[in-house]
Amino acid sequence: MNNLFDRFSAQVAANGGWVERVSAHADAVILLGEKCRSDRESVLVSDRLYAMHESYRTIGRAMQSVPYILMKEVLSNATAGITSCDGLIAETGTVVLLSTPGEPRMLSLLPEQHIVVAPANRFTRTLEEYLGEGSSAAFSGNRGSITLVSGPSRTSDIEKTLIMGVHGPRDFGVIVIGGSDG
Amino acid sequence: MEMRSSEFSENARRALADGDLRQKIWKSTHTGLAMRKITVDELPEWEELRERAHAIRKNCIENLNGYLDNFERHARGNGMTIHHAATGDDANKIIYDIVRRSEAGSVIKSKSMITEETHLNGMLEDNGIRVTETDLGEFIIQLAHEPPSHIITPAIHKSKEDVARLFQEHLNIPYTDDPGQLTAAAREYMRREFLSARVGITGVNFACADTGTLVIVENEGNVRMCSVMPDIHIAVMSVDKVIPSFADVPLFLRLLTRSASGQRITSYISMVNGPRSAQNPDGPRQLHIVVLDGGRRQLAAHPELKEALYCIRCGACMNVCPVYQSVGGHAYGSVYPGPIGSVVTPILFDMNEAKELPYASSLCGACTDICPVKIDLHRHLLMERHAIVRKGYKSFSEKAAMAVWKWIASDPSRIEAAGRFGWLLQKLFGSKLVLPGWTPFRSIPEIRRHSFRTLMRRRLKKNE
Repeated sequence: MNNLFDRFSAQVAANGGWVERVSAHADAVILLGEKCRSDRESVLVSDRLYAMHESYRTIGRAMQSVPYILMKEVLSNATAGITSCDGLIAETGTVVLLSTPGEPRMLSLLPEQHIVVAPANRFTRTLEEYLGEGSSAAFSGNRGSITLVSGPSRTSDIEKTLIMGVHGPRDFGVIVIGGSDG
Repeated sequence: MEMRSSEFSENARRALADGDLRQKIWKSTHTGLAMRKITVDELPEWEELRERAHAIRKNCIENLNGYLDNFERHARGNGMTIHHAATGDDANKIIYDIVRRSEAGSVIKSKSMITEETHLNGMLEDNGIRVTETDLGEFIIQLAHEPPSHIITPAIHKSKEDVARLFQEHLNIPYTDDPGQLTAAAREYMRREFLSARVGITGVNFACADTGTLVIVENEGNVRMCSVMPDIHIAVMSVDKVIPSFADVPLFLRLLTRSASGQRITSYISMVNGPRSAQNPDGPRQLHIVVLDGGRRQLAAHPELKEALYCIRCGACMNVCPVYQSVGGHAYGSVYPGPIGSVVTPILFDMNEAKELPYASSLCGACTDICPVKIDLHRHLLMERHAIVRKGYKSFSEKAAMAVWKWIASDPSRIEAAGRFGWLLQKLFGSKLVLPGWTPFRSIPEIRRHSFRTLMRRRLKKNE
């Protein structure tokens, strides 16, 4: 597990993001408070996280409280979007986001900051391992969309100079819960 | 300025004389190659991955209609609407009809080579639809009214000072040539477009036959915005974008991102499975896929050149090509420059118009060596040359010269006579001897008075 974590976090850093490890949800909430540095009103939190632990309510508003017609406006004015994820891929420093009710794709796209909170048991070595045998069968029934995120929004279109935050989040981070003794 | 394939030699000559342009292209192609090398060399199985990808693409192109049917069936099942277009004009018309019915006066677009091929932007603008390119590089060249010069980094021919002047004029910001500040200005401008857009148009990297999934690869986040935020998403793809299985996606991603930009993975990869639904809380209400033939099926039937359809559009063959490195993308006058462009342009578009392109190569084979799906590019360039000659797309003087050469070379005594004649000409005129179209680029070797055959004949006689 440590090998996977080390590779993952080195890779996310190489892609321009950051990774921290904590031991419990309560610690993740404290860390989120430090990282977000803005009031609760301008942070939006995935309902999946709310469901995992009630202390996430102190960090920001529930995504589900925002109806679709207000979603673009609210998220574009938000400073941070906090999501869970379905997979952590060590080789490339990638998080796998599934679009589900309470965790729309715009939550990880429109705010300037996107932070993922994930339990360490989500690690796999490669994307192939994550998708596993018979992945096609597994995903054909899933009408939701899948987004792989491996770092902040970036461009090098002006003289190959690397710039973060061209359209999407400038700041991308992952908080991994547990697994340090695994 | 619009450049034409038919004027490649002239375009190339101008590009070679432009030191500034050459420096920009040199820097960007070599940076690209160096970054690619780091991430490719770390994979000892690279060759094996190329073999596997080649086999998958081969199977796919040889059974194109079957895989397309499968893809379309699954995509429809996922709630997407499929449109078929035989030509680029058909595709443009379908897209315009969707935009018109939506009553949107503008569209946002992410980078897509296929819509460059169909000249979609011009057609929409002629019909009063405002088009905003949202990829930063595409946005820059849209402001400059220029075509892309590279399929991955379309604005590599622009310096930061060029961009500064464009943004000062069009975005009403104070002059700055700091790439960070320029990018921030583009972000602010573009965000307003994203929030108000009702139609988003994107390309497609891979269309999975067994799931109906669209896979789109990017770094900026503008593809995600174009495909998630508007009410209507139109994805445009040529038929060759289909791959047999979603399970093959990791393999192709591994090859594509390393080859294209030297990244182990890009910041974002969207795997779109359908429009907004109970499971998909956001996203477009309508998701249209325009599937364009554009001459691909005919090419797929060609016993050898069909390989050109295995291409996954990484652009590595451009970066590594000594001709591209020297003249850049615009000189080719085609949507697809570089070695792969010189193979597909004559056959997909107009062979007579593009007849110079297959000669824009020293046949060194660097393109074939770097291709992540092992397309035998330099052999195909040679085959295109054969096809062009067979079609008779050659100047009268070249055809006449070749006919004379054929007559001389088919008889030993004529060759000897020609040799003696050549020696005499060289002795009389020396370096003043000029063959138009040949001597300006090549030096003629010194012709000896007596040929090898003559010398041998004498020697044998003496020894008798």
